[in-house]
Amino acid sequence: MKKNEVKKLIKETALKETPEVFAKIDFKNIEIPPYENKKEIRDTRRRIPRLAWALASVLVVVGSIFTYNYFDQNKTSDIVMASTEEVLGFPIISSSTLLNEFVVENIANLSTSEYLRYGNNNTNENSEEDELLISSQNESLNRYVNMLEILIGDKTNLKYEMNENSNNTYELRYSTIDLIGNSRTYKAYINEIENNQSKVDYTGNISIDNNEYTFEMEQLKNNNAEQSKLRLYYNLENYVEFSDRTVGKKRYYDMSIYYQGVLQEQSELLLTLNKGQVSASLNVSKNGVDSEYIINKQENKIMNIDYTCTSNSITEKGNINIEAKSEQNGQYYYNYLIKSGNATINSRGKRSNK
Amino acid sequence: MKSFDDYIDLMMNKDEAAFFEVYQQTKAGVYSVIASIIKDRQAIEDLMQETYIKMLKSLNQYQKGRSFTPWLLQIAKNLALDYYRKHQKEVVMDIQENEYLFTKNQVNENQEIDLELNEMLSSLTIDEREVVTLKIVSEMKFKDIAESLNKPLGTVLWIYNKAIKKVKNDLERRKLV
Repeated sequence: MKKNEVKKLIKETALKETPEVFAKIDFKNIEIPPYENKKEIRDTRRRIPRLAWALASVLVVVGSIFTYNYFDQNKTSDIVMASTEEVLGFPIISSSTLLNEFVVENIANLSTSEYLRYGNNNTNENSEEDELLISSQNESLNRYVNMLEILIGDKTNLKYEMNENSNNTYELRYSTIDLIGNSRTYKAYINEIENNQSKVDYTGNISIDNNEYTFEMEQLKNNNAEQSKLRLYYNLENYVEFSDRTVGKKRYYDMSIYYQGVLQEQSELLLTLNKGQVSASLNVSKNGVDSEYIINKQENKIMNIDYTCTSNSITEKGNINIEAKSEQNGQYYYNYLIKSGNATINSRGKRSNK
Repeated sequence: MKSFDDYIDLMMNKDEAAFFEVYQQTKAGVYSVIASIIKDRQAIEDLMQETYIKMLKSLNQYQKGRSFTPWLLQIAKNLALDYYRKHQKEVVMDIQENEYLFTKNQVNENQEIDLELNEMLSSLTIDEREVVTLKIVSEMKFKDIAESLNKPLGTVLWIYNKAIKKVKNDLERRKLV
């Protein structure tokens, strides 16, 4: 029996047993006293800790960068992720940011069209966008761009730290720098629940954009490979599966997004490290189109993608430059400059708050 | 989608539809909290009614911006505990009786069994039941559970994971699933 079945059973039993008492409550005749003194505590109670937390995060990030540079300036490694913190942390951070994008688009009652205004800024009046295969992948690609913005680039900016609290409970902290140049910190809690000769089992949670995700992770103990499986949930029907099937120095991941219990999208991610830069190679199959993206981040300002899209016998190659730009209201979006053959398209995609 | 704070103002203005919405979203959580303390079905129903009536009469004391669900569930818990103290002999929190219930329901493996919530959670301590109920039935976030129980987030996660494992092992041991 799986734990999810236990959770489902508890939930279903509670719902089934719950008696209906609404009709017995004489709402109209209940006297509800007026407010004596309305207090809204959010502003006063929460702003100060948030500010303190933000300042502390900045200090930690700056301190971490300084310390790392001081001790590791002569150290080079072509292993993209080697430490326990990285091996555990990357699947958690990446799957939660990916699922969060999906949740915002599909679950939280927000229509995609409000967010993704891909193609609205065409520089060409003939709307070449419609003729490009890449246009059919805009929604999917934008989701991965949101995810990878904080996960690739200069490796010295990508910091995974883990501290043990108590009872085999760990706090994972990931700090990074986004495309605008802002430092970002993500925090997850991890419980080690079983540790035997062949594997370690973890559970935990992470919050992003006020959405909370729980996860279960299994890490196999194998001398030849560090492999793990993770399932990260928004709820029982909406989740991401993330498998680390790395052997050797390159890191391979399989990612699957499930919406309402049905597999929506599968992708493969390969991470490589070259001259201190972490790059991604992503393969996605969607709507009958197989897409391959080679993604680099340049100086925390631009993401550059070389892509190949294949559908039936048609193959399209091109290049995309992505920058984060600001609207008049201060909201950032992704500006896509797509070049393929003679076509040049300027369009935009939603950038989440991170 | 409206937040509970939006419904508060509407309920204060005697909007029954708003109350119905709050009731629908919280009734399973309220039930689970009470049922983890009290067994008598009629008493549970009475206490559920009492919980909502007390909530309505105390709305002016609720501070907007705080989590509504933990506040409501605390009312339910206090009422159930008061009832328990007054009617200790009639209330079942007795492991031996629960053992009996399990034995009674333990039929052949292929037969589907209707378990009661109390039976399902009988292997848990009060703390564990509370965390499991808040998370699974009331669908609260761990950070809100930690805040409402005044426990560190890591501890709440630990309690929750340990409790789920206990329930799973217990159900498997009894071959009820």
